[in-house]
Amino acid sequence: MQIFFLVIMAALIMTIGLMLQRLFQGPTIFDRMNGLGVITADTILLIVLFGFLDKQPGMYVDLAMAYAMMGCLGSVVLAKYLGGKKL
Amino acid sequence: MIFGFNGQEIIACLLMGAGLVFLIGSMVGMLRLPDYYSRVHASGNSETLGTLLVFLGLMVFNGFSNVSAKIFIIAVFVFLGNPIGSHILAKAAYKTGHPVWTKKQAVQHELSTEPTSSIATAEEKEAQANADLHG
Amino acid sequence: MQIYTVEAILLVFLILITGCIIYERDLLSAVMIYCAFSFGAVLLYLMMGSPDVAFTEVVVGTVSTIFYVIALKKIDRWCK
Repeated sequence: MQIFFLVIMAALIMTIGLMLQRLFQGPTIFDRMNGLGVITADTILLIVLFGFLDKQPGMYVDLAMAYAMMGCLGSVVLAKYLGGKKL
Repeated sequence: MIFGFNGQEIIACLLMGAGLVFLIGSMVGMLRLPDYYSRVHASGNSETLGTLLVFLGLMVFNGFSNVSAKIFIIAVFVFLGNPIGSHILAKAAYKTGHPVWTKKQAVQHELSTEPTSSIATAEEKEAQANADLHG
Repeated sequence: MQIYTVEAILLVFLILITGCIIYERDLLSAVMIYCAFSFGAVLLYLMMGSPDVAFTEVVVGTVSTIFYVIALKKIDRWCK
């Protein structure tokens, strides 16, 4: 069962690595925010899986809950900033 | 059916495998799709579903405890937050006039970057592209 | 044993992000990459086994990104 968690964590780390390319090179700010949204969802997953890897998920699950709540605030604020009056 | 796992873990493995499939699918979508608007589908929809399936697998794996209750709360917040973030960004992008990718525009771009030696084939490609569009 | 390999990957990730923030011309993009940096920092604190510091890093990372974006709204967003 540990191997399965490691497989998923490896896939998530690979996804984050590829999204970095989109984050760094993305032509417009919206591409970068798109990569950031994927990295947010992946980080939440990585934290929870990391807790299960250590066999005591109690400590990590609270943090993932905080992240899930605060995660999309950046997108909303940026959309409001870029949208301006029209949004 | 002990292949090194008992019944509960096999179900957890199946759910997490399905989640993994959707995560890989959204990653491929994010890399291959040409335009911002099409990539928002990959990151908004299948990413969220993959995350939910993996969380479901973890809850099955963990049985009834306060940890799996917290994982359910996380799944609810991710299920709400991720699409909202993607939607509001796509709306802002559309309202501020972010260029939309079209096949015609891609073909023209392709034509303009072709080497000048094959002028003859350029006309045929243009004709074929127009026929393709109207066809 | 797996902990150290994942920690090494994260350290490389953070160094990569810092380098990119420095060479970024668009201020708003630098703010967005800073937000990704705070994710990596949270993971690193977690691996060192301190959830309380990771909690503050989550809140600090998100709220400071919002403050940067609001500050950028006031001044002219200098980009290439």
